Amino acid sequence: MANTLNKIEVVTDYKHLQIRELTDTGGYHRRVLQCDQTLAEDEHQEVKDKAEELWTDEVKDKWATHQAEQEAKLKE
Amino acid sequence: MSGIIGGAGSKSGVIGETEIDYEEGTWTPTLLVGTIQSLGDARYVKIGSQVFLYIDYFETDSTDNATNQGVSNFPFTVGDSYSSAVSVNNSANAKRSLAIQNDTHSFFYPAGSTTSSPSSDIISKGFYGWTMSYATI
Repeated sequence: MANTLNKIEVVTDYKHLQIRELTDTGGYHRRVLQCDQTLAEDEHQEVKDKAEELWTDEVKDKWATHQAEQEAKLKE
Repeated sequence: MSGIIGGAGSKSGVIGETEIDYEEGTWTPTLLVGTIQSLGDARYVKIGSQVFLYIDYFETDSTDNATNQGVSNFPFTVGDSYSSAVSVNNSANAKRSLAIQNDTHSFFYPAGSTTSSPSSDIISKGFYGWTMSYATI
């Protein structure tokens, strides 16, 4: 990770990790990680630790169910 | 009500007597199918809970534009699915299309269509520009 970790926010029941980083030029860069994602090897260690702590099987199941419901909604 | 939102690149500010939640920065969009060949710009502005996104990119490989093509990897969690505004412009034929957004991504979604399969209007190679807005958590 070239950018510096600035903030981790945990949002929704699905424990999305909202990441804010500082770029070399001092600006912000944002991304969101969901519990069905595989983290990059060079991910910030604090992010890895947070994901390990929060992304339980129960959370992953709830997220998968929610996504399936959304896909079904799109096809209505 | 009037006021100053700091200076260029400011992250917060005051309008009248109310401190507002303002933030701007960059994000890294990813395509649902294939990869962005050449990313021009990808920026966000967040004012309160409202997020405004802008991206432009050049797509050189039309095979990357397939059924269910769209953009993901938003900078903020989507607060209320399907309540966003999205506009897509493709330079190849200068046609605009709408898209639909759920929690994690926006699909190409031709105006007037009831399916997420793109029409030939929006699967060509060329410049693409997206603007989106949605409410976050």
